[in-house]
Amino acid sequence: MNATIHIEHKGLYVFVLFASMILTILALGPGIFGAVDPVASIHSIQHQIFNMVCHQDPLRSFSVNGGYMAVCSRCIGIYAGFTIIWLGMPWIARMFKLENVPFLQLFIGAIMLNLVDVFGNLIQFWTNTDGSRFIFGIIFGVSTALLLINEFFKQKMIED
Amino acid sequence: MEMENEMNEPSYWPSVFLAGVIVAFIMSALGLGSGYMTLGSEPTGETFSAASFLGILVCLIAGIAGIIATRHYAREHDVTFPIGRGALIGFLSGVTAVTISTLVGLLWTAVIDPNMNQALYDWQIMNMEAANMTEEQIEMTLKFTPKPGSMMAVLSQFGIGLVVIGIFNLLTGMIGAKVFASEE
Repeated sequence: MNATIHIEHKGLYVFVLFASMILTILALGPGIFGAVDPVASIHSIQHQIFNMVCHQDPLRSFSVNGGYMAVCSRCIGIYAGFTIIWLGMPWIARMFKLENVPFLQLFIGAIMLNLVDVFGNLIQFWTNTDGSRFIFGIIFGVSTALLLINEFFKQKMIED
Repeated sequence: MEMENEMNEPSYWPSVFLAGVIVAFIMSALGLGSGYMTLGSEPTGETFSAASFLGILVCLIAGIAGIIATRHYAREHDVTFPIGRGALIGFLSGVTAVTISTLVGLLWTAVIDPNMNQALYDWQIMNMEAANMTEEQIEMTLKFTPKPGSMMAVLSQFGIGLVVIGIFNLLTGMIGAKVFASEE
């Protein structure tokens, strides 16, 4: 069984692709352009861009070349997961049968997973780490992009 | 024929405006609350505080304008619509929210508390001193940080907000269209 796909809302797909790629590169912080002083990195233009959408706590952020990323470890996971899946959408739609996959349930599950992780850490039931927050962020980003895949790539299954 | 259909479709502007106003006022309240919490705390040199945590809620709230608007539009008119329309409604809701919240912020700092911006600026400098930053480092940092309330700060925050919050709500608008107004 093979799948032929046809793309819908091509302009919107390309716009979101470029927007998410640019945001992800910016979210990596000033360190990707060379070595940076950690203190200076906190006041970089990248940090100003994301200060409305992330707490940017340096203790909860990864660093690149000495400079802190412009978003926390969970957020960079969300951006990276979303962008990678969005970029790979044509390939995913061609390779996998997407009919009847419960994407909405996966999306809601990813939100709940992150809320439980935040709340559990807040009440000191457990202590999450940069790594765990990053992985949960990736799960959320991936599930968000997958939720929309059927809207952009329509599959038609063909018998061999 | 297509044009006729488009003309018969109900306007999405009331939903865009409603979502924009709701989100803008919550954003403004949280933003101002975060500012006053900062001023009420001691500058310890930490870059993250309880006030910053309150600030994160602004982001979560800022992202739901697209969901609110698409849900309202779909339920109010009992219509389905494609994901592209959801993206447009979401983007416009985000832009409306940022515009109104900027105006509320300007009004607040111009009429109700004109000293707030200067107090926040002074607090930032004291916080950098508490973090043992050298005078050179502080000067360099301030060079890249526009003074709160200045035209430069307002315009750059507004511009960044339009783009970032606009894109976030474009995405949540698509999700809203998928969940509440899918044609399937």
